[in-house]
Amino acid sequence: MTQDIATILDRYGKDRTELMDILWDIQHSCGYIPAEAVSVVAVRLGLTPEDVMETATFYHFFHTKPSGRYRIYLCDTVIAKMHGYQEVHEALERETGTRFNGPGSEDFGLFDTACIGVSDHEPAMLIDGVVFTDLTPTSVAVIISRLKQGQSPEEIASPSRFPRSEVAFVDALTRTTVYRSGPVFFGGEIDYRALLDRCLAMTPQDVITTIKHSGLRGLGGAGFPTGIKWQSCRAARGDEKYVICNADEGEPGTFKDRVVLTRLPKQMFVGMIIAAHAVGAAQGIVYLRAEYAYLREYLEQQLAELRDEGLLGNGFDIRIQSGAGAYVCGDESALIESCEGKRGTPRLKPPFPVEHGFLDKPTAVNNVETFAAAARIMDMGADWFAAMGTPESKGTRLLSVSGDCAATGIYEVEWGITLREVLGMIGAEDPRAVQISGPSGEMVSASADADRRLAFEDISCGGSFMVFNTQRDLLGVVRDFMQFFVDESCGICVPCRAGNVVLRQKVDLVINGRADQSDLDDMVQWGAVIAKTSRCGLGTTSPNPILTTLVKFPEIYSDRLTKQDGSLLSSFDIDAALSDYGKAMEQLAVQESR
Amino acid sequence: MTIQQTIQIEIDGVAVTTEEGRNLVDVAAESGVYVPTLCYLEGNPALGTCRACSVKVNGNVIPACTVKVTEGMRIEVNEPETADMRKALVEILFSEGNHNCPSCEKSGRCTLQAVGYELDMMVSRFPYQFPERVQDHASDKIWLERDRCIFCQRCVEFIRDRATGKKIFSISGRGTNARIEIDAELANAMPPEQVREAVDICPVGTIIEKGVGYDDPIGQRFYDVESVRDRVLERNAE
Repeated sequence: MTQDIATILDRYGKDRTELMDILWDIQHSCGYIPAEAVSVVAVRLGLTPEDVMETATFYHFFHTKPSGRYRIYLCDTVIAKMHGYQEVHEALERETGTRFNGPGSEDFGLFDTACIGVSDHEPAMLIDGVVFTDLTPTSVAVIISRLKQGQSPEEIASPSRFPRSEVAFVDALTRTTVYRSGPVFFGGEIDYRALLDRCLAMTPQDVITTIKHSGLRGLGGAGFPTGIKWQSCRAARGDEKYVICNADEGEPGTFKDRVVLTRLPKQMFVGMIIAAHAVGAAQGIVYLRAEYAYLREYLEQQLAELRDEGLLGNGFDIRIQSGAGAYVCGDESALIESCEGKRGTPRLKPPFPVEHGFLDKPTAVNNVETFAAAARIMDMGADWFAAMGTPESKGTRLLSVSGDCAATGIYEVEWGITLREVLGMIGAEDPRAVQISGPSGEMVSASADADRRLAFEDISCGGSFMVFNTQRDLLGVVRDFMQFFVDESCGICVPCRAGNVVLRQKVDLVINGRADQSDLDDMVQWGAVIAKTSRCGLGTTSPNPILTTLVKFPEIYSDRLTKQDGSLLSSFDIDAALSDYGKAMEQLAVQESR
Repeated sequence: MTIQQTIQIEIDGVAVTTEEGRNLVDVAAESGVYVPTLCYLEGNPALGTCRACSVKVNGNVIPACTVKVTEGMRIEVNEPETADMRKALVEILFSEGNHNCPSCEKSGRCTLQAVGYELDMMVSRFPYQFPERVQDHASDKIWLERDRCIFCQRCVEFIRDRATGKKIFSISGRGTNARIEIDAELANAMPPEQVREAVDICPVGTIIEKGVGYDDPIGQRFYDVESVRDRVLERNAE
């Protein structure tokens, strides 16, 4: 093994920024990241082994213990649970003969994982970077038996054996339908050469002015004006600058960036080239979430074609950086830390990445969809784009629609569309609630909010659109979302690390019928503390599942409340408390008898 | 050194004259307003991990240690809602880990304990979690008592191997599974004064020097004889 590690390390320099790639290579070679390898890497990079472990233990997909020849990650989002997750979970345990999140066997390791970006075809799982969708106990049995017969996950998922660099391979795995095409993203082919010739002949300031004039705002969710971001990055002092594409689409329920990467990779890359010209960057990075590893070779092929056409590689080039499973890396500063080979912990802001970003250099980080929109704006003009949408939200955006509706998939909609219109368009079935923008967003009422508009000035929408019908257990959804934040909190700041745990415990109290009104009051107060004092967007939005449902659907809580009876709090479980004493006495008795 | 611009800010309604760009925690202390801190270590870059110094700056809640003062800033420290948030953050630390002050070597010189007293904390409003955490005795000189760690990151950032700059302390895992780690080899090479420094900057009783327990009697230690507020304000008045 030492020889293997040495061979891997020979491909790299002595720079920590390559640590993520090194760890991936080791895991691919050994099946996990053994302690001996960590020591060798530490020596090479001039770090302590514990420092290498800081990174290795931060990410969900890195394993520092043997984890089976095939590592299977079953997506456990609420959407999966609405479509047969439990049966698939059981089938996987049965067929592999191992348990989830346990030690696994020599062949199989089973792990739950957060949203893997295929909410239109859940239940779904990843096997070593290959995605399997629309799972049933039957399909699971077939997949596992073929793995046992020695077929690779790739062969099983794509029986026609398309090369991984072709879109046919990606399509064989994912099959997402674009139900509604609009003018910005799916408005037809762009002549990239002509567009780039035109843009690169413009002054950077003119490009920035055009983007500003278009009113384009970041489509990753935060909605920061793209032109101002580029302007700040251009104005920042620095000999080197970077453009980074945030392809860490981790918000549960969203998969539109995956579809842009599949259908419009060149439009997105050309958007990056234009941004690089605008801010003065020589290097670009696409931070691709590990869940989308099956897109990597296809994207590399697209980049190679752009280089062959002479559109890339002359003063600006793009490389792909793989993530390793951490929702928090959707925060641009956490993403940059990850690009530097560190734990994905968000930085203190200010300073913002536009001034001190990757390797402390000015860096413009934009979402996949934002770059793709920017390319179209430069092709069609700012006025054309700004004529669509609302005063605060120009143009169109992509919705990733999942849950209880006839047609789950991608919809390009003009900003300002009403909730009612969207629900009609997607064939929503008996809808009660819609979770907008994923767990970090808000839960709205399909009836009371029907005439509200998707726009930054009304219902701000990051692209995730999950529909729940009247039969769904909304409190269970809230609990699931809170557990998601507990699992994904990086732990760097107190309110998010410790606060989400106690909030989730409160939801459990309600579900178990042990909460009274004072527990709801606590949730509101504690939620405010977490939202106001957390370090990054994860913590500032994590109480939203509770806070927004308490407003929109108070009955899901009040129906389960109890009243304090006597002097003990409703939440105090006297039987559980006394059983602890019994357990302690038993343990003591065993010790004393020795 | 550049000459700093003299500016006026307002802290709890009182006009304060200071220099632009200085740390808000220090400026507040100089003007007689104590802002509790756990992770902030004067003279070092802000870590912004504990959030216990959260105040309102122009109406927005923000940790004071991360704020560099600018002209006209309006700061609210003792506004009740914000003060209660700080208290909540300290309380949640007590319930998140296992903190048994009466049996702790750090009692009387523990910043978490002192800040808890200063904020009139009687009991944590949050449910005690009683996590199971394993202690680390691997180093010859340092005993790592993980029950008390609040993940402030002071030791991770400010205590480095003097020869190589490598981390001696680090964090593994993430979220509720995060754990403080120590590189025993480098820790064993720490000179005695660096061990002392590591023990001193730990705001709780996680980093304990082996073989020197209870050198000062409890009851006569610095926070026992003077509150954390008085110590901070006095130091800054000098």
